[in-house]
Amino acid sequence: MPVIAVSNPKGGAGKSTTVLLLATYLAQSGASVCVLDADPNQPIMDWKENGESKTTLKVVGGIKESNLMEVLDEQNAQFVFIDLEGTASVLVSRSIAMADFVIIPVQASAVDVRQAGKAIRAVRDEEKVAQRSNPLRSIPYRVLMTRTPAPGAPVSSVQRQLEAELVEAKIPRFRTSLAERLAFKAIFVERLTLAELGEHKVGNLGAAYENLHDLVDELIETLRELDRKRYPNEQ
Amino acid sequence: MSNKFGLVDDPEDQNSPRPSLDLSSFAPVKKRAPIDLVEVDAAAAPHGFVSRESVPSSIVTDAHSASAVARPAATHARRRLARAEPSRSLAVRMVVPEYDRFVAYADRHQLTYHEAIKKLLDDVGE
Repeated sequence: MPVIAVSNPKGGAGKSTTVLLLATYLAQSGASVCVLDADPNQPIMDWKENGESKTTLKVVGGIKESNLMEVLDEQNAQFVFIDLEGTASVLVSRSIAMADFVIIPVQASAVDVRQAGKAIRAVRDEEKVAQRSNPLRSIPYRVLMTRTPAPGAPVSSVQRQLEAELVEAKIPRFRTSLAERLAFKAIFVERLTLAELGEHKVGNLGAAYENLHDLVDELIETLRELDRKRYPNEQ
Repeated sequence: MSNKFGLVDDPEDQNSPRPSLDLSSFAPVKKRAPIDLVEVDAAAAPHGFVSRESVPSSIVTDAHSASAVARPAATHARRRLARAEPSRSLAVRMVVPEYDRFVAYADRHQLTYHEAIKKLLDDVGE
């Protein structure tokens, strides 16, 4: 535990940002973390290779349908994230099938949500396939709202409708959202981790860090809870 | 700003992970259980998850066979029919993922690109 796939067939939903923020935070916390960059644009590989971050995060690029399983089997980090391309592909569905947990980032837009629906249905169907050979296998997932207004700012009616629909459809989601923050964009511009941005005075860095703290706390809590459900006798 | 007396919080400390985060209980990732790629690909195909990688058929191995299932049938030289109507060229620059989606769509439906555009327009009633 755990391989975490981050997927939404819609591009620009915040997949790479989510992966980079979570992975670098966990690495900074002392965990061994690896990112498999399965996006053809290789945004995280570019971040790592062309930046000067001192993070211990390991990034493996060039992930394809044909080498996904092999590359995944070579990893022995505590956390492996798979940053997936913004399209519906076999690479995405195979990554979902092999994941322990799937994060589905969604912006409050109709297109994003409909595309996220594809990912949710794929997760559910892949879970059924996996259960044919292992009835205990599950592929838990959570929707993550991204680029939401900062706390205190007005929330759009689209976002409110989306949140209501998620509740009605009983789709699990993170309580924490990733707000629209300059600092979250700046990590790609400066090719640094959020913690390393200190000197660059980008937006409200403290608030951005607090937001990320909350998301990581919730992720860890969720993973621990899932583990307890999976192996109840071990706790 | 000076911090001779250690009263000013170090910005790096402010942006450090919370000390309560203990990740030691997370064991390293284990080797994945083998999965049936044919079934995995077949389950995802109805939701539009198809191969976006162009692998020449000559190097398709067993490992690729599952993706070959989801991949559109091998392309073949299409017969070009002379059209009586006047025609114009349309050159479109697209980002790669959308280009791949469009080409995959045309291949899946065995359409030329102009036929694929026509079908998409017809389907949305334009």
